[in-house]
Amino acid sequence: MQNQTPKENTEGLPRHWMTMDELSPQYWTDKSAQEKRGQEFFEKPIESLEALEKTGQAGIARRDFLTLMGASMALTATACARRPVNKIIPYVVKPEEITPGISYSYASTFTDGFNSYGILTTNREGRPIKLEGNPDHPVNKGALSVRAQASVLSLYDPDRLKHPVKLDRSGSDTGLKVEYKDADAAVMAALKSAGSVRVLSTPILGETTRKLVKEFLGSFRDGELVEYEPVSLEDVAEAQALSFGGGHPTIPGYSFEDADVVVSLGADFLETWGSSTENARNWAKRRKPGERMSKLISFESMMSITGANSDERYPVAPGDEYLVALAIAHEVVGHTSFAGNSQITNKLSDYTAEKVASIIGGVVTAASIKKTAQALLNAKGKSIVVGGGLSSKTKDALSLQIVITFLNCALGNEGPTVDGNLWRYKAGPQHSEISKLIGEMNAGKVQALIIHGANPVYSLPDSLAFAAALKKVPFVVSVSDRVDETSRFSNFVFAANHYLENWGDAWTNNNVVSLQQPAMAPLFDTRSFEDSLLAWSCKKTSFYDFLRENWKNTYFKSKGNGQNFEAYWEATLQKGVVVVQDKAKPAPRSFRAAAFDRVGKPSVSGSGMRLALYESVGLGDGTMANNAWLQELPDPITSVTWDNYIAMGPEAAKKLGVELNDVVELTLASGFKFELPVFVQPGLHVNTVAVAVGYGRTHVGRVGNGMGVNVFGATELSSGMRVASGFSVTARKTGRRYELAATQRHFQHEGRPLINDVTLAEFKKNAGAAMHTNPHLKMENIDSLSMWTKHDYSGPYRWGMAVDLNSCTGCGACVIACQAENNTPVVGRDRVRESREMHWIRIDRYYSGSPENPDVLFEPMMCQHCENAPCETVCPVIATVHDKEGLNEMVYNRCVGTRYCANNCPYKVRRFNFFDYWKNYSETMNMVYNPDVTVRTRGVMEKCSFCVQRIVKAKDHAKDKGTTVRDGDLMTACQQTCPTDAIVFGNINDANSRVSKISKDARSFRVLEILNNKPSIAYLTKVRNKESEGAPAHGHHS
Amino acid sequence: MATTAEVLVTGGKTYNDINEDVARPLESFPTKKWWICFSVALVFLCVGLASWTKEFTTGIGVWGLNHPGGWGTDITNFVFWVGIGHAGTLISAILFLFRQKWRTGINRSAEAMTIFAVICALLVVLTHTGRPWYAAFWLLPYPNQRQLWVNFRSPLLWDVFAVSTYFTISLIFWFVGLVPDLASIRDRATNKIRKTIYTILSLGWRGSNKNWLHYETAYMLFAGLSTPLVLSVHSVVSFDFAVSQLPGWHTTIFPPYFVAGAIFSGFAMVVTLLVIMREMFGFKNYITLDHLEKMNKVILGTGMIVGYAYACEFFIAWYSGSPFERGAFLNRMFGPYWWSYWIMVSCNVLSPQIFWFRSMRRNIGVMFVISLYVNIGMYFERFVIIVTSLHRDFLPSSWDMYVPTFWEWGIFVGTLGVFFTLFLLFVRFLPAIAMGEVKSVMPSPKEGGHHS
Repeated sequence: MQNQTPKENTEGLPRHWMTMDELSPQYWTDKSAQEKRGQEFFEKPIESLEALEKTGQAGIARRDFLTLMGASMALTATACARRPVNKIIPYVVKPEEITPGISYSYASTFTDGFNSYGILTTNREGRPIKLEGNPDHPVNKGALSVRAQASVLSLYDPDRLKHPVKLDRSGSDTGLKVEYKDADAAVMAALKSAGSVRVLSTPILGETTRKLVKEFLGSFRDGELVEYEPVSLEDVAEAQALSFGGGHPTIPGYSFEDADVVVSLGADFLETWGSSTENARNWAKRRKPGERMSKLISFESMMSITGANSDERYPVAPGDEYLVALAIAHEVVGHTSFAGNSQITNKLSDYTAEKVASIIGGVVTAASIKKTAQALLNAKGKSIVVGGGLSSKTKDALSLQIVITFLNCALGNEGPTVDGNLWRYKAGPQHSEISKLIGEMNAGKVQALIIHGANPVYSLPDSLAFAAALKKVPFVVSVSDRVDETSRFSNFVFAANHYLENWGDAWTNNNVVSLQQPAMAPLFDTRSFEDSLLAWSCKKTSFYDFLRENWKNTYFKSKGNGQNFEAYWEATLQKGVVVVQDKAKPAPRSFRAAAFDRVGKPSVSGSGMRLALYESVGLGDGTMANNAWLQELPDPITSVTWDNYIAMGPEAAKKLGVELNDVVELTLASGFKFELPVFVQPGLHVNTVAVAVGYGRTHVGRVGNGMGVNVFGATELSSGMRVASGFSVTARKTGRRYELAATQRHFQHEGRPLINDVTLAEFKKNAGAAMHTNPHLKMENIDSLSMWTKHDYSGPYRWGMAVDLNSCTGCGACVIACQAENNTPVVGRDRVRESREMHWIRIDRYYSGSPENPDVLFEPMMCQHCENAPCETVCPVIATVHDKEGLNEMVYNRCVGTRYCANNCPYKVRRFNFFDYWKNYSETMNMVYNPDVTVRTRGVMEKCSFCVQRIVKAKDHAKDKGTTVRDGDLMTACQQTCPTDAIVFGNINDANSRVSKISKDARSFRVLEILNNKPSIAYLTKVRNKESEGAPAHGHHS
Repeated sequence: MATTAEVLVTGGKTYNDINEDVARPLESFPTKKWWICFSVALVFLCVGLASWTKEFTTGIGVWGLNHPGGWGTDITNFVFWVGIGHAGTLISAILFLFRQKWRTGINRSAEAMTIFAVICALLVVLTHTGRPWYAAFWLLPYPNQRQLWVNFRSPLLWDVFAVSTYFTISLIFWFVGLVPDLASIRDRATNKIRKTIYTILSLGWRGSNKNWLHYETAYMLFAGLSTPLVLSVHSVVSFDFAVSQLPGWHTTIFPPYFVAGAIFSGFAMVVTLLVIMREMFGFKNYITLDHLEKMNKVILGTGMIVGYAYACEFFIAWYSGSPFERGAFLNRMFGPYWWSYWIMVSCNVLSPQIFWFRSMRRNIGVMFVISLYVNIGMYFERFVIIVTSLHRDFLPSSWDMYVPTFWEWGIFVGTLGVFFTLFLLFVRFLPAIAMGEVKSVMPSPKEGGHHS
């Protein structure tokens, strides 16, 4: 504007003008006038502006004003933005900016009870949308459990407490919203006058948090930390302490990858017991058929994932695991160095295999016990005996653990496979701690109680009356993500952060610590437990600084290698995990025979029904019960969603005269009674009834409230330990019926050639044995029969998958990973009853053999991406098409919803949006949606896409680099999370890719090959390490 | 005219009587009977409208469909209605070409029935989709900027062509046949509006020789065009199933079996309607017992073809050796839907056997009941084929039951409402018996000359 000149007028004046001035020639030539024209608005009187500027009385000039206003607005906006105040470091790429459409990963840590797993969050537009295991984390190495996968949904749970509240302590869960300032003042005032303060917390895995809590409590006359976990390994820890003496009770590390024989006595180590993701990963390494294939034998009361994956499984009544342990020890002891130790042999002498087998009955025979003992003896130093899950936690749990510890020592496993120098977890809380606390509370000795996350009102035995004791504490403050069963009795509930909004660290084992960095700033007006403690101790530091300071003084000091702390910190944050101490060489500890003094006579017996409690795969102890993904995850064995139930064997059900969905009332000797529908579960001992804990929450949120029945109340404390199983129960048929929402409702296999399994012996004879068990499974030279011209796959890629049924444990992690990745809707209990669940991948479960003790097979089933896809030909609008890379693609926008494709799909993997299911992701929940995947509207078909968005991304990255996608660059969500590496995805045009090689394995078969659909997914026959006598009957008859 | 001893019109009717009798329902205020029927039909229609509204606003989840069962009563209704239509075309076209003079009394109403049935079929097939607002035009091959096309390999697309062609041809055929009669009504009309409407509809018909010549040529041509449709439409509908992979659907016998079934059900529906109509409007002299008996013979014959098809399917399933095929057919007979299978067999195969007896064939009560049985049986045939095949297919892990909901039955009732409302309007406003054709099969009046 400054150099404007009138161009169109020959006389040097403008043709168009705005002010009269412009018509004067001076206006265009005069220097000062030119300058003034540099001001933006011509109409502003130049003279007056000039005058004001000269006198300096202008106050703020307009331009300065605008500059300042702009700056202050920018600053205001920055200050309000929900952005982490503390510096966090992305996993690979530095977060210079959040780039829309580009995802970043942050390493963090997920903790679940005693276990902690390294995770990588996938952040899009500043929010985590998907979690994956951190491949650098030595424990889970990229894999994640179902709960870890689902935890991202809990972040966006709209039922989370969004701000601190003040409650009236009547148990009402609606409170008054309060400001932090006021609430903090009230808490500090109360704490000031309180001499004895207790912090009741869920297990604190982070050493820094523990330090902070200790410091905080140290400022009181009488401050103590009480940790509480409803399902703990206290029995194992106690037995370890008794057997080896001294030291801190710990839980040893188990090396399943080094075990030729694993015997489980009630421990579901593949899914719910111990560091299950790690266990499953290590165990699966030895499950490739061949000479080195390990053998898994289990004796258990309920049907667990571990039992289902056993080569030999023996159903026993709850508590009888202990008898089996004694009998095995009896068989084994004579062949070990303890043969002459009368302290031990005397205790065992009564328990001959014959006697024990006759007590247990069912399919357990003396021969089976002897065989198991022999298998262990044959694998001395290369076997593992584990036991003691919730379902075997009877009054004899400690005795059972001592015998198991003895067995491991006697067999020489102590050291080679059971490593006392590698504690996978510290023993953590024992129930004696909380029962002591209750005593103190009742005695009025606790003046203030700070509850962090723990929910004892829900999960403690009713007999302990925690709620009543709570009322005797003058001041209770909770830090919780919701006003739950316990925190509703508090004076104040401080809204806690989700772990993805939190700083922290977690002790994984005695060598490894993993860091937890927030993946986003708090979504609501929440504050972490640690920051609350700091606030209440009047400290000005944030927990972030506290954490850094602590790391600087501890881990950095010992393993920092003299580098600069900032560099160390950044590197650690990026990696997410740090080895703080080198792994010590396993040193066998020697078993103290004196421990056998504590081995008692089996106290659980009798011919009546006994109750076994267990943790379900999805909900565990029920903490995450408001997570719809977990509620809707079909139980891998029963396929039931949204409810717990009474599982009993076919024989028991017949005796009681009940069938599936009949409501039965169970009454315990303690008077505790509950009603639940029956699920007839093959493979349970006639005296077993099994019920899952973790259900029946009343104050967890709209999703989880009232789902199932809480049976924690049935448990008891006995000499400081939780007794959860082995109770005698009487069952009464109520005559009412309740429909369980199961996704797999038909229980027979119908003798169809759908899945293959063989025994190891058969496999060794002929690796492809299963291929020929049924003529309908194998098709030769079928290519010539096709009426279509073949697809052209001449491009660089053709995508395919291989699923090794030998590795798949059926855990369901892939189901949740897929749901998170692909925005798969949740439909709710009623819709599942109507058979409208939407999971893109499901785990088909088949049984073979007798219903008394069947073999279980899992077959993950997702879109097979058939070459001759039956869905493609029948769609009238070409909404499902085949691409040049072998993908069967679904064009949601084009779909009109005739459902013909689903009808014609023999695998029944297509899922139809009968309603606008996406609306179920209400309020903040829809923030979990993956922006790369279309959210489907009603009336549209959907199905597994082989994670096409990941394929596109990988191809784009390769293109940027000028290469092609290499094997391993690309993983589907299900493959990525699989703890046992059962799913392999890749390019089958590349003969050297893993998937190509696996697909050509002798065990490879395609499901329903007879139909000539040519699926792109190869399955590998399941091989069981058992003798041929128990060869499955199905598959041989049609 | 009638060279045989056959008497197709009884009661000594004259040409004038015919005009009087056929036009009476059109020219008088509807009877109480008509109003009762019409009210019932309207109630049915309203139930249907409510059900469709529910479906459109909520989603087809209000039905009982689920993951193994993508189709249920929706496609059952579709096939049922398309099947019903077939009798009309058979009577008006094929019987015409075969010079079956007895058809004249019933062809008009049979054709009307065809058209209304196909309207019902089109309605249900459109609304069975998840997104009917797109299905309404995306299923048609029309040029568009996005260059999206339809899938010519899909049997559903063949359906679109088959059924829409069928509807168009049937409508034109019916209308052409109506023209001379509409002219008669026009000529009789006294009311001005009425006269105008019928004048437009009768396309300037004057009854001249030339008119009749063109008319008869056109009629013959349309009859010829319609004839293959009788076979093709239901064959194409059967391809929806036969072309798929599903055990119980994937069967080569389906086209002839479906065509026979369609004629079977269509004739049964014609009998049902005519029994009512001749009672209601006093057409007993035009739609005689002889007519009905002939139709009952067709029902008996096609019923046995259908029965043969049932038996044949079972044999082939056993003979195939495929566990899936065997499973599907055993499941039909003895699975959870055994009752629907046995309803189908008893209604379709057993009940028509009574027509071996002449007295039964000529018994109005018996034939009315049997025709209803056949209608029910044929509905269940489609239900059995669709539902029992789908609910248990290849992988037992997906098996589940399908239970139709209130809203699905509401839509079925709604199609009945559409059908009967249209039919009752038809008998009220259009000549329900082809006057011109009936006259042609009557003995010439003594005083009259040779006609046509």
